[in-house]
Amino acid sequence: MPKLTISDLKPGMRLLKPVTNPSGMVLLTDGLELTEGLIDRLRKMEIESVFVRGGNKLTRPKDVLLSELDYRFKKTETEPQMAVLKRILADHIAGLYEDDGL
Amino acid sequence: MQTIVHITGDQTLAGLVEKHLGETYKLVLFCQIQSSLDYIYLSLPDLILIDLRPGDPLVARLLSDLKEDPIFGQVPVLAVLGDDYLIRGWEELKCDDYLRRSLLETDLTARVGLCILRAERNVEVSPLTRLPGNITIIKQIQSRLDRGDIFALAYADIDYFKPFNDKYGFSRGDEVLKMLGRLIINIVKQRQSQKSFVGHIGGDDFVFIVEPALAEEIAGEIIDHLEQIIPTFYDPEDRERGTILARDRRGRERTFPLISLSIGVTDNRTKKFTHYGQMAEVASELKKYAKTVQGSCCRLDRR
Amino acid sequence: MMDYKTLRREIENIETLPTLPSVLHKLLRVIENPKVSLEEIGNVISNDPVLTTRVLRAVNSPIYGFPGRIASINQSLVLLGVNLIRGLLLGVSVFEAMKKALAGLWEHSVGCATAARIISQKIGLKEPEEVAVAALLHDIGKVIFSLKFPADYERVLEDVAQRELFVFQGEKEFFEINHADAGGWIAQKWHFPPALTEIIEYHHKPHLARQVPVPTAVVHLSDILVRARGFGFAGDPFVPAIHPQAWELLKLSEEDLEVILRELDDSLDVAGDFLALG
Repeated sequence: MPKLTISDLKPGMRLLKPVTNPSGMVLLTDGLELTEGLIDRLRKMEIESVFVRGGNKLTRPKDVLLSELDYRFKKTETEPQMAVLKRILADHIAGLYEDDGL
Repeated sequence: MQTIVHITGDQTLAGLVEKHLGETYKLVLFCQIQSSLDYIYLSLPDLILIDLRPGDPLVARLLSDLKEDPIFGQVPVLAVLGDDYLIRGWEELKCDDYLRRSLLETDLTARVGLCILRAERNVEVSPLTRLPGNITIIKQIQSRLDRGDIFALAYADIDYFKPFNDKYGFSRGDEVLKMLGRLIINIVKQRQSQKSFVGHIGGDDFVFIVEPALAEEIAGEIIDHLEQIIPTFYDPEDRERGTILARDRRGRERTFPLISLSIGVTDNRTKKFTHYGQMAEVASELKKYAKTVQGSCCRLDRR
Repeated sequence: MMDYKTLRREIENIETLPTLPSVLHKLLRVIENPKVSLEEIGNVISNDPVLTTRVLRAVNSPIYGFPGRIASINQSLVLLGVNLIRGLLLGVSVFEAMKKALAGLWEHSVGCATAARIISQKIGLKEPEEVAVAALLHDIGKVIFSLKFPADYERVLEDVAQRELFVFQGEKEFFEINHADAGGWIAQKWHFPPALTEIIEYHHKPHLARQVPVPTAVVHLSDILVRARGFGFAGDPFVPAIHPQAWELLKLSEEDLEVILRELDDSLDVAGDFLALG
């Protein structure tokens, strides 16, 4: 789910859904880019988590993804092409984590 | 056996209708119109019997939508009205006939039978496309001219339709006509829902009437969509090549390009027409000129 | 389990398929607006297997007169018209017992559609949208099983999880057919274009596709890639083996695959966001 806790938020991320107060008033619109200041504000407002664009990717660490990959391929990795495919995917996943510096 | 869709939330009414019609017709019961539309749009019943309550704008709109469709508009709608239902304006009743609840026992069977029979006596509707034919088209043009309306008249016909029919048979040719009929009416209605008109003269000739300002755009959209859809009506090899092999009017085998559309449009913004024939002739000339251009083409009246 | 003929009749007699509550919610919001554009409606429809099936079934109905021709949502919309589409979709129902597994299936289907579009464009196929539609619908058989035989299918899924099987193996053991067969039956019954029907029926055995072997191979690979990436849930967590013939037909290099994966990730982020916005 693309919902992140406040502690995981970083500047540059964009909101996927608007942030509303308990009475439904929109405080921050969706699409808004988060700055340090805004993240601070969210923390002060005691908001626990928000929906972030592309949040899916950011909540799972690399080694978890790689071990899941192993599990998924375990039935067929000895079949033709599957080892190659698995390697390409593993490289791809590793690559994701290099650029983001996460 | 003919099918009647019965829409009512009233169990007593449902039972009554079942009693009178259940033996002669296949009755399909729905408690509200929303749940019936799916069935109607996929099976084309012979009659819709609806328990109409006053003041439900959604029902009125849905019935109106149904009646506007060339195919489904032909399905007769018979409304059952409560005895205390006050008809304020009969034009607002989106049905073909109505029957008062208290008269149901005596009159239901006859009314249903007559309604269906009347619908079957289709006046002048193209059997393929269900669009109005020549007589209605002439009336439409003439009445607008008589009223002093300003409008655009477009004549469209299919290029290379004959070779298509020769190669693939009239059955597939009919499919193309049915598809084009739907295409034109949907695009015209989408762009101009009020006061527009679409007719099918016969064969591969279609007519539409729209606001002059919208005519070029609408013609363009029809052409675009036709070009996108028409390849699926060809066999894969012909589709790939972009041509078909068929006989020309002299019986010689030749290659022909894929079907395209030629449209001629005129309007009475600057010209005065008094007789439908005058306007039709101009549009027809423009269409003939459009046909000389390779591929789909729309020719407007620039004089 | 019932005999083959009865099973086929039962499946072919399906009148209507339900969708997810979140999709219905989104749909109603869109069609309630009387001025809604065909494009907006098209957007919601193209991201849902059940709505897509509903529209394709209508446009390919013999009533309109040109069955078996239309596989594109855009074309369907123009041929049916806004009013008719609105009427058709108003009656859509939702699954009563909302299972998590079904939501996962929706994600998987949308993911496959995305992948198929990307791969088709990469290899230069003429109609990437139509291959995407086929990929969106490739697992419609599972929706059919869930609808027609909910208790049985739930047992099959549990069994499959316990024994770590592929879901199509569990289906075959119990029903004697799998979801590809069921999907193919319904596609045929509803007059879907033959190419579309073939892809649905043969996406697990692409080497047997006669008419459109390349698009079938594309959907076959899309299914594999999306499962490998872990997007959505197709009934089991495992990655099926790619058929050597499909691999051969597609002729993708390692670089090609890497590019595809990158594009896929970007698009899946967007797709995931769309589905989350229920």
